Amino acid sequence: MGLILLSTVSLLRSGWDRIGRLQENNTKEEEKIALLSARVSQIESMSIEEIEDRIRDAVFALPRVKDPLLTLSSAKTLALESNLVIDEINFSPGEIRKDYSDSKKIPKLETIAINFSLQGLADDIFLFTQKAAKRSPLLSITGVTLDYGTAEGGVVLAKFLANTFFAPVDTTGFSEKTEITLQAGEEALYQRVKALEKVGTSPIAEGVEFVAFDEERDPFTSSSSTTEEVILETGL
Amino acid sequence: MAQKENQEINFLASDQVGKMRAQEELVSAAKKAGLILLVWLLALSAVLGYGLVLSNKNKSLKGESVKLEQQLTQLNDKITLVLILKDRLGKIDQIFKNQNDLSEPLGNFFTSLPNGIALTKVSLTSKTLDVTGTGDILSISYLTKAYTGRSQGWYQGAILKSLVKNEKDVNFTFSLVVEL
Repeated sequence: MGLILLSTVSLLRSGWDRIGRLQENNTKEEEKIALLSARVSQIESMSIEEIEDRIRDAVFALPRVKDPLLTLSSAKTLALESNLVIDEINFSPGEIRKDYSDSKKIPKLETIAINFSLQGLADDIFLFTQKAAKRSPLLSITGVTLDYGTAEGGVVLAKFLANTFFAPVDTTGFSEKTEITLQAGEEALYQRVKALEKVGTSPIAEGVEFVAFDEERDPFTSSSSTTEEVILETGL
Repeated sequence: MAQKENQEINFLASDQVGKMRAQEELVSAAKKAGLILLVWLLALSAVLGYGLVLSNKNKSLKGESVKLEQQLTQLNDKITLVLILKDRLGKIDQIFKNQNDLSEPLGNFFTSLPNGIALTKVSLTSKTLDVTGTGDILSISYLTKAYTGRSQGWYQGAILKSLVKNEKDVNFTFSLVVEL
């Protein structure tokens, strides 16, 4: 009788423990399923074409690699559109690295300083400053010096100090818990990026064959001197 | 004789009562044992049965989870693209937050510039707007008045660093610093 009682108690106890473990596991599993289901439905709700279009807009605004051509063509177009004569554009891209996938450095947002020396009327210089903030790739003007003394006929010599940006893709921050749809703030930000006018030749695409004297990409050939053409070239 | 017979009957009766009592006790004990057995069986089957139900549920949940994971693996390319987009937008947001639109102070300055002022140099950063120029005293006075009143929101303060009368004409040369 005692043996039966003992074995019953032990059986009930182990059964009870198992129930506890199973309940815990099931709760975890249900949470995991809820998360996975949400992720699956979130991803399925977006088309791959839509995401690629959005990436194209975002990469145009903030290129993945240092692209001197894009920076120069963008600056040149902006100046020409504002009826300004370019005296000098100089910048120092520094270390040129394709990407950071093999590097131990954590990819971050990098800045390239760019200087413009331009000539034109004060109103046009003001127009240039206004337009710069609404253009893609992003250009942030940090300083302007207008010299009224040396030029004639109302022409002002302007020196602009600006920053352009690039950032390799950083996948280190991705985790299972990262939301994989655009949040309201990100959606608003994307709409802001989309509204920027794209100026300059398209960013360097990986695996594209090099074409010497490529008139479509060279910002200093005669065929690419008009704004309309440059904007059309981007095709975006 | 009659008394002896009576005694025998009593003896037989008491034996039957004892038997009946024993029988009743046995039935009662059997009932109790049956009840205990039933409770034992119920408790055991409830615990084991519930464990079995939970175990089956666990198996089906795991199966569902594996299925969803496989589905996610198939959508991996799409996920990577979305995460790349999110990363890019995060970095663009950093730029926007640190970006100063210098066209605003420049535009405001030009708006408040009177006609009688000839500018020599204008230097604008995100913190200050340095202006040097020449003009008649009334125009300079009109210009400085724009910065001596209530702040119009686009500048913090203004300092007229110098105001010097030109030797060759009636104009003055001035240097104004507007703090943004």
